[in-house]
Amino acid sequence: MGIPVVLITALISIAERVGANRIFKTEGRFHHPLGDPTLGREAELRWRADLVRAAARMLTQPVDKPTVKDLAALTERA
Amino acid sequence: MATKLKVVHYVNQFFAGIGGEDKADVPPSHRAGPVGPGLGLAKAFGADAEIVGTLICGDNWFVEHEAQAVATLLEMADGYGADVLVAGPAFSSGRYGTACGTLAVAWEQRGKPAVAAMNVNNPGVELFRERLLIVQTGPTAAAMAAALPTLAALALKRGRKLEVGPAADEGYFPRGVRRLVRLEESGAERATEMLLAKLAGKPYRTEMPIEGFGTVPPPPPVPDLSTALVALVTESGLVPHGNPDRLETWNASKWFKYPIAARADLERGQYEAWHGGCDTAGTNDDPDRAVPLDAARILEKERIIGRLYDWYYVTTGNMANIKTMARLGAEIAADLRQQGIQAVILTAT
Repeated sequence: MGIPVVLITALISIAERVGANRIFKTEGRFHHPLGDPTLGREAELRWRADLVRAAARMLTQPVDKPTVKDLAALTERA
Repeated sequence: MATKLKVVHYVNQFFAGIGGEDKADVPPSHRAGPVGPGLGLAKAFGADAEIVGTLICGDNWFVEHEAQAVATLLEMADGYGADVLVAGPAFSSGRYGTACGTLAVAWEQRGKPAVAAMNVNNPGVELFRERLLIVQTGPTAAAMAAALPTLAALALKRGRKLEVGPAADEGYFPRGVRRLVRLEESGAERATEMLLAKLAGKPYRTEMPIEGFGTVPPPPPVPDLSTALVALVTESGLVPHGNPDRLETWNASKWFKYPIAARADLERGQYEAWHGGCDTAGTNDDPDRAVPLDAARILEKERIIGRLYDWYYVTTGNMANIKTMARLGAEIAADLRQQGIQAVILTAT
C-alpha cells in the first residue's frame, strides 16, 4: 500500500491534471505556497501552522480520486 | 519494378518451434528462409520482399547474455545481407519484447531499418518506442493474422526508404515525434470543427495529443497521524546555501535529502531556492515558506503528527521531463518506504 501524501500548492489545476490524490489549496502564493510576507513574522507563522494543520488532516481522510480541499473545508468548527 | 527486398526475421524459441519455457535457455541460431510466423509474414510480403533468414534465440538466454546475444545474432544476420530486420511480433511476452527491441535498436545503429511488433502491455513498448517503430498488436498470438500485414507494410516502407506516415495511420506506437504538414483548412477552421464535433458528442481527433500522466491509486489514510513518522518533501528547489550538490534549476535529474533534526526552522541565509521557474525572493527571505519546518514543529508539539523525519527531500519541478520526474518520485518513495515514513507533506510551487 502506498504512503499517503498531501500536496500543498496554489496551482490546483496542474495538481489535478497530474493526478495527485490529496491536494490542499493553499492561501499562500504559488512561488512560496506557505508564505505571506504581508502578515509579519509571528502572524505569518500562526497562519502557516493553521494551513499545515489543515493540510495534515487530509492524510487521515480516505479519498478515491484527486480531491481538493482548502482551509475552510478542513478547519474544525467550534 | 523495384528489386525484391531482403528481410531477416527474429523470433524466440517458442515461435521457432523449438519449445516453450523449458527451452528458453537455447543460445542464438539461424535458419535460411522463413520459420513459424515468418511463413505468414512472407505471405504478407508477397512478391515485394523475401525472408532470406530467420534468427532465433531463447528468451532467457537473450536477457541473461544480452551483449553476447546481440553480437552473435547480428553476425549471423550479416551472412544474409538483408535490407531490413523484422522482430516479433512479441505480443505481451516481456522478455521476448525486450529482446526484439534490443536487437532491433542495435541493428538500426548499424544504419539499416528495423521494425518490431508488440502489445501495449509489453514492457518493451515503453523501453523502445521512442527509438523504434513498433507495430501495435493484440495481446496474444491469436492476433497474429491481424498484425502481420501491418508489420509487412511498414517493413516494406522502411526497407524502400519511403516516408512513414503518422503512427495512427500506419499502426505503430507513437514515438512522440511532431512533424509539420501543410493542410488546406486553417487552424481556426479545424479547431472550430473539432469544437463543434465535441459539443455534439461526435468523435474527433486532436492534432496535439498531450502526454498522459497515468494514475496512482490513492493510498489509504494514515491510521493514526498522532503517532506517525511524517516527512517533508518539496519540488521548490530549496537547498542549503550555495547549492552544494548542484541541484538543477530546471529539467532536474536529481533529488537530495538534507538534515533538519537539530533545527526548529529553516533560517534565512542558510537555505535558498534554486528554481528557475519562479521568483525565489520570498522563499529566500524565509525558507519555511517553501518547506514549513517551523509549522511542522508546532504540529509535532501539539501531537498532531507523531514525529517529523530528520531529513527533508528536495528536487526542482520546473520544465522537467515527465519520465525523469517519475523516476525521481519512485526513488524518493522507495527511500521514504525504507525509512518507515507513514505520511508525507509535499509542497509544490
